[in-house]
Amino acid sequence: MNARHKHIKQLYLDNYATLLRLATAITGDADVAHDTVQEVFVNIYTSPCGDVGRGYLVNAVRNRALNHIKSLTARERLLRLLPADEMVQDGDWPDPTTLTRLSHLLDNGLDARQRQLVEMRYWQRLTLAEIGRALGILPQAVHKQLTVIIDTLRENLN
Amino acid sequence: MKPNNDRDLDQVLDNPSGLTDAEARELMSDKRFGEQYRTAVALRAAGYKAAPDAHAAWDDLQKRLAARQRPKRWVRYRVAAALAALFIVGASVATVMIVNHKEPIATATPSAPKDSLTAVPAPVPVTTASPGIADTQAAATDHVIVFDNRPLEEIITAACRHYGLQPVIDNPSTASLRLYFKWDTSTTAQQFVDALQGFDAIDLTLKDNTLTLN
Repeated sequence: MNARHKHIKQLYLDNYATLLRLATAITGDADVAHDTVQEVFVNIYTSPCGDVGRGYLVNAVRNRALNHIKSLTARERLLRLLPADEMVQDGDWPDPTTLTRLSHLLDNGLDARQRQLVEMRYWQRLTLAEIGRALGILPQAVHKQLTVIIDTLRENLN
Repeated sequence: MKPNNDRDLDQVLDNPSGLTDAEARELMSDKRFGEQYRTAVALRAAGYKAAPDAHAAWDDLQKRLAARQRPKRWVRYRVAAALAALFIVGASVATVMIVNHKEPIATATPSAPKDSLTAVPAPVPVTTASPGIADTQAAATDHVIVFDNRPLEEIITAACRHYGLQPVIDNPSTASLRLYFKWDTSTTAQQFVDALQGFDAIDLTLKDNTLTLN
């Protein structure tokens, strides 16, 4: 195993989880995100470029993921909760600080029921009716509770 | 669907039928709806917390790299076959021209049998390179073949044909490295290996008629 191969492997193992998280945050699809990271490393392998670092990887994955969502229509992006053009045009979305704070708030600022609602609605993409059926409450009640959750999170973030 | 900015995100997500692209853009740029939307996008983005198996993903990357190598090799063989065909056509034309030059009277006579042209052996190309390495697109002078910016795999393949070895590529990424390499075909296989081992990134093993790129 040569030195370049070893270097790339270490770089990959050290950064794969972070890069996958970044690509998933942008594309909203773990499979697409995985492909995105893999293609970046295939390019590194097959091009005669020199050593690359974490900064290069983050930018390469971000750009490739953004290119993916740019190929989608506004309708698709809205329905899949993907960032709109104006959110990503300054190049720093997803802002890692905001995402970390939001993640902390989800873990510590919500009770178990609220976390469950967020998970079902935004991660599993269930409809209000489906969530209502699963939890034995009316869709309107689910809507009200989600509105409260979002308002609370937004206030805390601001 | 008529644009209605009084609708909230939940209504749109659960009843998307009829929503056009223009309406989606209008909703996303609406102040109130846009705020809900941006918060929901951030919530969705912050929610991914899986701990992926980086080693399994690394294995998948190696498979992808190997799959990318195969078509390239196939294309290269086709190019080599085309070059070989061109060489044969060229040699045949050269034979006819030489025969015409040496026997102007005989060939000019209508009664001369046409078959006599093919009775003359084709001229042998002036090179000491073995036929097996003629398709490497490398420059050949006497016993020396120059590989200029050629993939390592091509160099190994040519050498294995020359020395009668079985090539084994265990490291596709190294095999795709492009080198400038002068190979003296009069040297032994071991000397060839030693010369390539001089490159920092290359690790070759010669054992039991098999040349392995580690």
